[in-house]
Amino acid sequence: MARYTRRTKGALWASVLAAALTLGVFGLLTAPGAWAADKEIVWAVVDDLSGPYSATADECLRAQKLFFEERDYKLGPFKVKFITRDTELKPAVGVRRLQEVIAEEKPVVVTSGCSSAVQLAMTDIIGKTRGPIFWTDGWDTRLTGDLGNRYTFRWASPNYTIARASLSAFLDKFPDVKKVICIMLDYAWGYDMYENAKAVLDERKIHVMKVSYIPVTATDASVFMTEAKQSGADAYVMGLYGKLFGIGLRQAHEFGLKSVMKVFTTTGTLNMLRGVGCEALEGMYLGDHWNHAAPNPWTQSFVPKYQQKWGVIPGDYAAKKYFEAQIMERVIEQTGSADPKVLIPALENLGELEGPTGKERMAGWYHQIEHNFLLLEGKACKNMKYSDDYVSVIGGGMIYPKQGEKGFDFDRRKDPL
Amino acid sequence: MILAVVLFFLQVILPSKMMAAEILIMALPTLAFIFLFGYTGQLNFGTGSLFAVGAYTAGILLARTDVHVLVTILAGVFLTGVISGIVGFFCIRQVGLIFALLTLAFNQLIWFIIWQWRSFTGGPDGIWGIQRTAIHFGIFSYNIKPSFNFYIVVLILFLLTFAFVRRLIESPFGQVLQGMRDSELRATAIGYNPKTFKWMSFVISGMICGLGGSLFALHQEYVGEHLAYWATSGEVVMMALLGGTFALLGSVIGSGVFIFLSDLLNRFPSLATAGGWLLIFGVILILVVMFVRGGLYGGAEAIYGWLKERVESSDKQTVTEP
Amino acid sequence: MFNLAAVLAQVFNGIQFGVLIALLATGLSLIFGMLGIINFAHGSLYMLGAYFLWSVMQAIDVPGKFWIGLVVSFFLMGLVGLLIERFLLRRTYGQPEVYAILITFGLLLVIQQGVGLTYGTIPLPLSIPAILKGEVSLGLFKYPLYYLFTMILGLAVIFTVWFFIERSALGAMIRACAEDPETASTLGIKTRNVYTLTFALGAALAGLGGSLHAPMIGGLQHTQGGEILLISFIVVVVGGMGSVRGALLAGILMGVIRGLAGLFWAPASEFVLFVAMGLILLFRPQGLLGRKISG
Repeated sequence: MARYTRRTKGALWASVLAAALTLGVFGLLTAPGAWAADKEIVWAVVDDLSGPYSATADECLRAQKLFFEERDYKLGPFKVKFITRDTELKPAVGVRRLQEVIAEEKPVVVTSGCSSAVQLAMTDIIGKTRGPIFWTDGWDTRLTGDLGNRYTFRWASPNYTIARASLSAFLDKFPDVKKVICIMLDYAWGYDMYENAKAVLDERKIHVMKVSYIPVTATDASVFMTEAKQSGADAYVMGLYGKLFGIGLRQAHEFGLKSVMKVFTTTGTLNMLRGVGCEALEGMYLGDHWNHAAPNPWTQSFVPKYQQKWGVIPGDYAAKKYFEAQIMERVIEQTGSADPKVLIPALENLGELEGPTGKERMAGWYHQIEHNFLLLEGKACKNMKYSDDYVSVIGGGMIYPKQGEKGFDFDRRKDPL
Repeated sequence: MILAVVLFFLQVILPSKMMAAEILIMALPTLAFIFLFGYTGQLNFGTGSLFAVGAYTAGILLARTDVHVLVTILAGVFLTGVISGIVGFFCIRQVGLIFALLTLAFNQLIWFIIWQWRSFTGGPDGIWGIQRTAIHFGIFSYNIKPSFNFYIVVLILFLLTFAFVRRLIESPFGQVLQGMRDSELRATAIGYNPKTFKWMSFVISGMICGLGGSLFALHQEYVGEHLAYWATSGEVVMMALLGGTFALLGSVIGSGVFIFLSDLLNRFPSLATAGGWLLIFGVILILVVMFVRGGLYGGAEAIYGWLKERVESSDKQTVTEP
Repeated sequence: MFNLAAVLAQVFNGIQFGVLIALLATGLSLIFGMLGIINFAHGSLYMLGAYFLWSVMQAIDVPGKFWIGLVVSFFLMGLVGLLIERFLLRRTYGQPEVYAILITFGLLLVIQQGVGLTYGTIPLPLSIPAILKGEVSLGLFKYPLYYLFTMILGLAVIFTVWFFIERSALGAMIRACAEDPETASTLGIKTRNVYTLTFALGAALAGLGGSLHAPMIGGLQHTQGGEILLISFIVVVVGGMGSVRGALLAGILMGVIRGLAGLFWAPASEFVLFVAMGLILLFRPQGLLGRKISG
């Protein structure tokens, strides 16, 4: 065992000097090179590139890369420097890297999408740094609610909408459902989702037999499946995401829940459906922000492009990020400016839009793009026309918070920039 | 001290002062770990949770009360000391690997409490609304919002801690600890009670983690539950092993290399997909361990020793020539 | 919620999950008992085994591809274990074990991200083989056939490993090496090969656990090794390092505790394992069936 001895004053010098030299060399190599050349703007993606949600982050990244490569990395009159940073799905790391990016690169736009906790932390920072425009796609309602700010914008529907629109559409279809049992993720997102689902259930006087919160770190949900099976409920209302979505739906199928109740999940995304597979999905009900087979012009032009470039069918994350980039392009061209102080009012005034789900609207007062949220039903394997054809759209809704409601009693346009 | 000067210039060389501050802040739990492992032989897997206790204490006080900044830091250190006293009491009864795993169990216990006690700690949301403004000394106040100013504060506190630990090791107390590491049997035979000494060193180590945590709360202006998670403790262990667990300096070296390297690799968009940068990090880690003994500090020592020999042998030659 | 059927079903669940974890824990325990290394890469090996199974099933399209895949994956993982031990871990044998541990940590990162880069990050689906689909009736409740199968197969494999170590000649050599490598080598046992064999076996068992678990989880992901590693640790420690029967017993115990905890306070179902581990360590630090560890 080596010991620490005082003789090595020289070693102290040596190691410290060596370290300093190395750091110095690297520091010079990576110094934020040129100050952004005149008329160059920075577009930063700060997302979970390496962790459990890297598939999602990847999809977001690909959509943005597609967008910029089509335009040769130009937005309006500006050249675009495109940078990425990993949040490692940890709010503290994400916050640090975000702050560094803001301080060094001075981006005009930061985009992110994974993990509500990270998104909330980032929004907080952006508010403090009166920072660049932040396009987030976390689903926590508060991101465009009482924890939002004038810099944060979102396309993805908040949990408020996700739970209410999909669940209402589902309950409309199955009015015989009188008692349900719920399972949600033990996470900020999960609590939010349950509150909103509960609001719908209470309104319709549907009895909740039990709500279980499954830890994010769980590797198995059989405990909950068994319990649900024995419960005698009419429907199983699930609010799961990521790895637990796969586990939950697969095990719901394997434990034969579909034979004794309806199985419903508030939301899924294409990547997660791929993992679960058609056998399990058949006869299940779920919500989603967008579907690649939607018969509207935006979708019909976007999907083939993405598919040609990346060889896979895009999920809703790709659609979101591409559309957000398109919106930014529009306001930059419209105003000729890359200054958030000019761009933000322009964004707030966008009004009606032709977007991924068809007719959409930018609600300037809380920075949310309002659009239809879908209810889907899983197809039988034999009815699939191509390998990603997992679901058919059977309904949907546009249920968003009203200005003045609890948690939404503000008008962002009145905040200073 | 040379160290002070070098570290002062660290923030000039590095791409960001925030990173420099973070390196020193993370060097604190690493220092705590090295002190405990290298000098008393205890492998502590709970540094993350103790760090988090400090962070949450300071964070909650800063965000929700008007207490003076220095008081929040002291509170963080003190409360972490108390918690590590309790944890230590249970863990000290065991040694070696079982001790390590017990600290891991307690680490997760603290994490779980932080996660579930939503009303107090914010649960998965964490603590917001922490402002880093200024330290007031009567009429005089020092604004620590700018990164540079804050770095100076962190640097001073780190150096003080470092000096303190160094003194502690060289003191009679420290000698007893090292004696115990080498042979607990003998130490007991001479008349020392190992449990007491171990417990005290555990508490001191915990308080250093707490200091790091308090500074972290100021640094990030945000505190989250993942700080208490075992992965963070694991990172601290990695930094210590990377830097060299038998030298206090290893704390800064390990922390510096770890943070710097992960940031550096992060900057290449080509490595972004599926976190390719993490892959390279793993490879580097393996290579360092396989080819450099005693961490980077040990490696530097070895190089120095080799150079010294070369110099001395050539000296000898000139001397013996007629 | 607390009818007898529900509780019984949970106990059953717990046993099933416990057996699966015990597969990993057995490997970990053997590696620790023999080499003194905490193998942080064990979770990644579990994940890799599942991915190998998937690859084989993609490559060949014959009936029974699941079974072929299981066997191929098992041996491939053994090979991987062999390579890791021979070329990476062996270098650290003279030094304190922390260095080997650090290498396994680096390996965790390399394997995990390597798989992510090679196979992509989109979850890969893997189905239960046709003959094992559906449920069976177990008196008061119905239970998925495949889960029952994995439980039985897992028990069989663990028993085989235990039998091999306790009763065969090769097993005797392994035990000799674990207890006293110096004397063992003077008796002519090639200790180095025994080390390699142990690690390879541990890796193969982990991979088998991953393969069996794969159809249950709704999509393979490169990050799935992380959490299962921690549970495996707990089981190893509770069972007693180096004890195969201990790993099985602890696995089942932990599985059942977890299942019942889920009935009462769901968010605690993962955490309660730590509490159990802490309590057991405080009062019986060598684990349930482990040998006493000296000062």
